Amino acid sequence: MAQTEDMQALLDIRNLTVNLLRSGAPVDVLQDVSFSIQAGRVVAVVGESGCGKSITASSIVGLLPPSMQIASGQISFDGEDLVGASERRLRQLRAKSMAMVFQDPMTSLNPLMTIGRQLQEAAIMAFGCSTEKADEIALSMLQKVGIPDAVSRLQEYPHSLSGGMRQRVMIAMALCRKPKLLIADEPTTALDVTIQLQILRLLADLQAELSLTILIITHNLGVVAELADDVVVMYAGKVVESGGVDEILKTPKHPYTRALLAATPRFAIGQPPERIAFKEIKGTVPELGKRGPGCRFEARCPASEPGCAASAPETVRITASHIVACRSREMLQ
Amino acid sequence: MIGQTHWLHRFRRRGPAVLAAVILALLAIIAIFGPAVYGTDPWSMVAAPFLEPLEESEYLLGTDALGRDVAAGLIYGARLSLLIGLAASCAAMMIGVLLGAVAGYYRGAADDFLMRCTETFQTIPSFIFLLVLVAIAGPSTVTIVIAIALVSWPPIARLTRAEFLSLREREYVQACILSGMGDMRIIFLQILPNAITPVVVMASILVANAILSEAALSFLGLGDPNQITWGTMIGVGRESLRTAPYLCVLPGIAIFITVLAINLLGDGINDVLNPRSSS
Repeated sequence: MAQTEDMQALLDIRNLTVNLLRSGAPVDVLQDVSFSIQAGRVVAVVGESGCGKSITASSIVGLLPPSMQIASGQISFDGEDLVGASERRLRQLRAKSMAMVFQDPMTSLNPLMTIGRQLQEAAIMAFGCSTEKADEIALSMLQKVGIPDAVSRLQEYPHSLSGGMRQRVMIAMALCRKPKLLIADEPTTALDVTIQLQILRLLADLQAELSLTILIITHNLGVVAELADDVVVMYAGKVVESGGVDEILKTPKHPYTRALLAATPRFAIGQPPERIAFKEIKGTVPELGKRGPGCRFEARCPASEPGCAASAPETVRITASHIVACRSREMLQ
Repeated sequence: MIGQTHWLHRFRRRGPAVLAAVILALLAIIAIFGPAVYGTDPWSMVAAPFLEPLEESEYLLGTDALGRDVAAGLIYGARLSLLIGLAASCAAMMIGVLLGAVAGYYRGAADDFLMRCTETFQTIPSFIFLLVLVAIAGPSTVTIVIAIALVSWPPIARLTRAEFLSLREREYVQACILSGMGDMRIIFLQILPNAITPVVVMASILVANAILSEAALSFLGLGDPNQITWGTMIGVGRESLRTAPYLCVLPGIAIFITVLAINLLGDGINDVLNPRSSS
């Protein structure tokens, strides 16, 4: 699919299928997910809750819960396949080149250790350096993420920091390890709206400064517009559309992407709240195990056709980067 | 007031727990320094038998059927009862925490195996099991400590496992795994400190149970024959229960106070360490 791109991708996911093992037949949580991330770019994975965004991230870092298993497909990172790699090699790779920022800053720091100690540990784990050197890295990273009075913050415990500050610490901790790939799993969801913007700006600034490669998982299209270069839209465990940020936000082709965009409230000053125009998407994501062979959005799709429920749609390439999985020709015009 | 949330303040508001701590501190002092200060050997026959308490000023708590000093027995008994209680619950905690941590952290096959073992232990009535162990190994202080530990670790293991199962899903643990930290470091340095609070509270109750178990063993004549404990004294006093009830009652009261104090202290520790349970 991506043969047209000559540069080798940092992360390349091919036909990834993840199964949930439960009594009876295993059910797929992800089916045939494919996308790739070029070094230095920010890729956003969007979709509503339960569509498999976080599972995709967990598969990449190898932290799937024991009830889930990669059934088929490849995840190659820097030219190396992660699916077949040994536990040991995986551990090394993760330690050296990936870092993750989690959704809830309340539970992502150890409550019984000082910020400084945790940052120091992260640096030591990554570089095997001395504690003095690690403290130095910790301090410089804490300053880099815009924490005022960083020296005294090092001595504090997570509970004395606000959510936004903790998320900054998490980002500092991730950066301490100079990762090749930074995965941010809904990094702003648990924060106040004003803080969300600050964190996004911070990520954007750091990305520009350090030319980070970021995989950001979100259901917030504002985040996408603010930060992403490329977008992958997922629905019920499948990629329905992917492409550059402008292609997805300005010329969305898949009915789901369009519905998602139409469901985003647009506020304007002076407008009474009840007039804010947004359309909900009727219905809910089909349950695991109750997903038919056809297009998974079919039941909620305004443009569904007779054949949609019977067989899965082919992926159609619209431009070099823009790919959509929908059979409705009308939509693709 | 903000100052009120300081742990010392919270502790002070709980009268029973403080009283319990004072009693236990006194008991500990008696157990450590008592024998040296008091001097009288609990085994030697020092006066006429069956002296009632307060009958003679030199032997305030009276003497038993062989004319041995009851007060000396209580003081020496405090040492051994507390020692066995502490040692046995420490050992039980070590076994329980280790197995529970491994089961909860690794889940899967390790968890299944260890939990089935734990359940097997739990299905055997614990006191009968204790009797069998001591009868096989022979009664001595060390074997009694080991036997009590062997029958009392399962609840600790289950509690630790439950804590680990929930904590290992926390994001900071995931972050540690991601950063390439070794399993042992994650278990002992990252998760265990966060999981230990309820385990410590349960272990404090275990101390009380261990003292009771030891007393019951001694009462049945399965205590260490070379050591005097409160249980031994009750067992010996049983024969003259009708004529000299104080021989059973006095060590009984000592056990009662100790066990009650430990339980109250356990509740107090729970309240202090667990801010959610304090109003």
